[in-house]
Amino acid sequence: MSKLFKKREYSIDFMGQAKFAYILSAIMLIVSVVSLATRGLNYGIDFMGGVQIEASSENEIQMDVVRQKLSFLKDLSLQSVGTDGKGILIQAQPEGENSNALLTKIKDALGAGYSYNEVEIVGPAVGAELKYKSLLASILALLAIAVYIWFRFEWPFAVGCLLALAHDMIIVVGFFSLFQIEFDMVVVAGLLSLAGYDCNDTIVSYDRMRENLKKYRKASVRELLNRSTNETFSRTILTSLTTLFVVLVLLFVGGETLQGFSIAMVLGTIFGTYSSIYLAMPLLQYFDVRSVGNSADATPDFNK
Amino acid sequence: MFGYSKIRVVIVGIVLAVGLFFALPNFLPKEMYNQVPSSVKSWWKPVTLGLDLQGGSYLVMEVDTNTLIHEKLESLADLTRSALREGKIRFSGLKTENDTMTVKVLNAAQLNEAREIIRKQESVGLDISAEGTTLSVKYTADALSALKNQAVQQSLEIVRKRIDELGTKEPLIQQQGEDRIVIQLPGVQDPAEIKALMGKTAKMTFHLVDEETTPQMAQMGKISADSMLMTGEDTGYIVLKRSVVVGGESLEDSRGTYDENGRPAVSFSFKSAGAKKFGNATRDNVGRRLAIVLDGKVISAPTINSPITGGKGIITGNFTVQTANDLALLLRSGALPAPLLVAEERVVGAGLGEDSIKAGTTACWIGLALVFAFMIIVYGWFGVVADLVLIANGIMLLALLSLLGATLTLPGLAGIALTVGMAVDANIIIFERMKEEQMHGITVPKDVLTRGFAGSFSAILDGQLTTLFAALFLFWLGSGPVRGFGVTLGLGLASTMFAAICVSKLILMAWMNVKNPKEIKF
Repeated sequence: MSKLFKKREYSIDFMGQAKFAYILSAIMLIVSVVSLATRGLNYGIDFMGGVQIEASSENEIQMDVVRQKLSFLKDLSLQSVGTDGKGILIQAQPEGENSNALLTKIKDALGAGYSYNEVEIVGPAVGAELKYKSLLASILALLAIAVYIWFRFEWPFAVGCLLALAHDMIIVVGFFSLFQIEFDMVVVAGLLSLAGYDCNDTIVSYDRMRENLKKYRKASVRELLNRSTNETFSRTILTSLTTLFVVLVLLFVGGETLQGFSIAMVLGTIFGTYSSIYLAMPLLQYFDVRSVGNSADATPDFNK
Repeated sequence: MFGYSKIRVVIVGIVLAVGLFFALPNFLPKEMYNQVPSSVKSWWKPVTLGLDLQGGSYLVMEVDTNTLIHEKLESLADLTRSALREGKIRFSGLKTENDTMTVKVLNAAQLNEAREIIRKQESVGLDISAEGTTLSVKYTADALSALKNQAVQQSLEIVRKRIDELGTKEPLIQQQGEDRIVIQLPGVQDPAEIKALMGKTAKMTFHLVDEETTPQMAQMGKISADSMLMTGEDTGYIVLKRSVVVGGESLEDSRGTYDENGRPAVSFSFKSAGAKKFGNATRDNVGRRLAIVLDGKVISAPTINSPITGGKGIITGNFTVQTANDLALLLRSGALPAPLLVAEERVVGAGLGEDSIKAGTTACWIGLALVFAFMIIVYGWFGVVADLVLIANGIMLLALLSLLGATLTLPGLAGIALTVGMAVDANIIIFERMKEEQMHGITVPKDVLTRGFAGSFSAILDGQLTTLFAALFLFWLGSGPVRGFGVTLGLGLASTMFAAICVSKLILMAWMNVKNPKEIKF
């Protein structure tokens, strides 16, 4: 088994394959953006505001009966929770009502025999504010990362990394839109940590690219990109695999609350690996990395 | 020692030992930890569980800005009324509506003078515009935000007192943003009572009754500008003097009690200044009625039989034992500047919390096991080293979380799992670099090792730092669970840096010194 990972000298023409990747990425991006524009996101209560109650009954729940009892609620949605038919998830939008009164009304309507596992009420102002702040935090995080890369490397690297990151995030959010998976605060947490983790692979390859640019002063950029990607290929795959294991486990046994987070992380890890090989690296060939690199030999380098 | 400076070995060793010591409470069985003296428990403790893991209530209360502004305008109107009169400016139609106070100045020549007088009545900015001889007064945007902030500051104190009075265990009360207060109540499954208490300002004032004006006269508009028509459950409509004899801010204490007929009542005592005012007022007005007004409603209006000089008294009214006790609690904790409304509420049942912990920790363990196995399959003995490093990393992370009193939430558990997956990345990068150095003809084990570490350090650091940026923004963005995730992620990065660089190098160096291998084989 160990042999499998031992074969190390890859000579894959990644830069040659990149044009197919561009097409694939373009398609995925278009699908994501179109879906976001037409279907939007299935916002959870964190962003939408409203009331969400997870309750369990002593007896099996008759959905129709509950629906009738709660028919006074606006935008009522009922969902069965668990497998024994005794759990229920109630979501609704209160209309300018005081949350206390609303809860009492719901509890009265359901009657005795229910226990409440989780009650969440989010005011509409809070939700809207959170939406704005999440977007802002995501954009700022991406920019902060790009600026850091710019300082540590050169600006073309920052652009490449930023484009690859934005690509991954748009596709992951697009996936949530396409399949209407609930999009809540924990998903945003996933997206943001993704932004941080995603560029690790890219950084390893960029680090190697920088080294090779200095080492082989006569080779073409394209050649060096291929070489660097090949040299770092095994660690790109291995590091992504360990993280993928963990997020897959989270997805399957981490419980319902972490589902959105795990989906974001699984997709992000896969697309992050793909984009650091097929976008972040090939994109560098459209910039004059060589001259930028030479003019700024004073780039801090921890190796020395 | 091990070709590694002695002092560094000692430092790494000490850090690990300290880490282990602080992580330990998390692994001790409950019964054992309970026997630890409480003075030690205060700093040697397991990670605090978030509300989503231990069950409890999470409330975000928002200052009711409309009411706040309205109240402020009302008192501005009162001040304006007497100030204009003092300044001999004739006016009519002084009233407040929504966020605006309007007053018609009868003599147009006095318009500017009136404007200045009004401006002097308020310390924050006023926006005064004139239409004909009618002045419209509003708070400026800056003033509004200052008022809100001030209200939140005052409310925090009072909310804390009210919740402490209720005897809730380990509540966490913090300001959030400009006009919100976050209240976390571990273990509280039904926050209805607490929300009800937060919704009341409990502003109490004593007013003399205007005996010359009957409610009927007042309703027909025959009422002096110094009096006001009020209503109450016990008293019905009643006309009171506007001026406050003494207010709730002068109260020292208040308790639930019983009156001479054995009915529930509320006792109160004033601080010395308040007691004096109250004593004077009651002495000068024996035989007249004194009304107690709470949040705009008259509770009762008893007749003053004799001067009350001790600063103590009781309020009777339509109370039950519960409402009397509640009112006493509200009075002694002080009045809120405005009611607090629920902006966000999350209640997690204890059972659900337990399930979440189970699912989260199971995921962590399975993930850990998979990563362990994978590393050994890929790297053999070096994989074992990476796994040891991972254990050290986990211990350090737990120690940091425990030591800093960070709150572990369900997303935080996910953060730990994620750290596990990402932490070995550093070792993979180092090992792959070592393999590469070997391929480039470097065979002396020590050189391979040093070059492997040196060649990977910059990439590892950069990778960790970018993730740290994300964690920082998460911390800024999130409240409650998500913030916990940011904290775990950030601390995880710190412990990963330490473990992957220092600990793994130390283990490998030690191994080389002991075994002295001719070459490194993966």
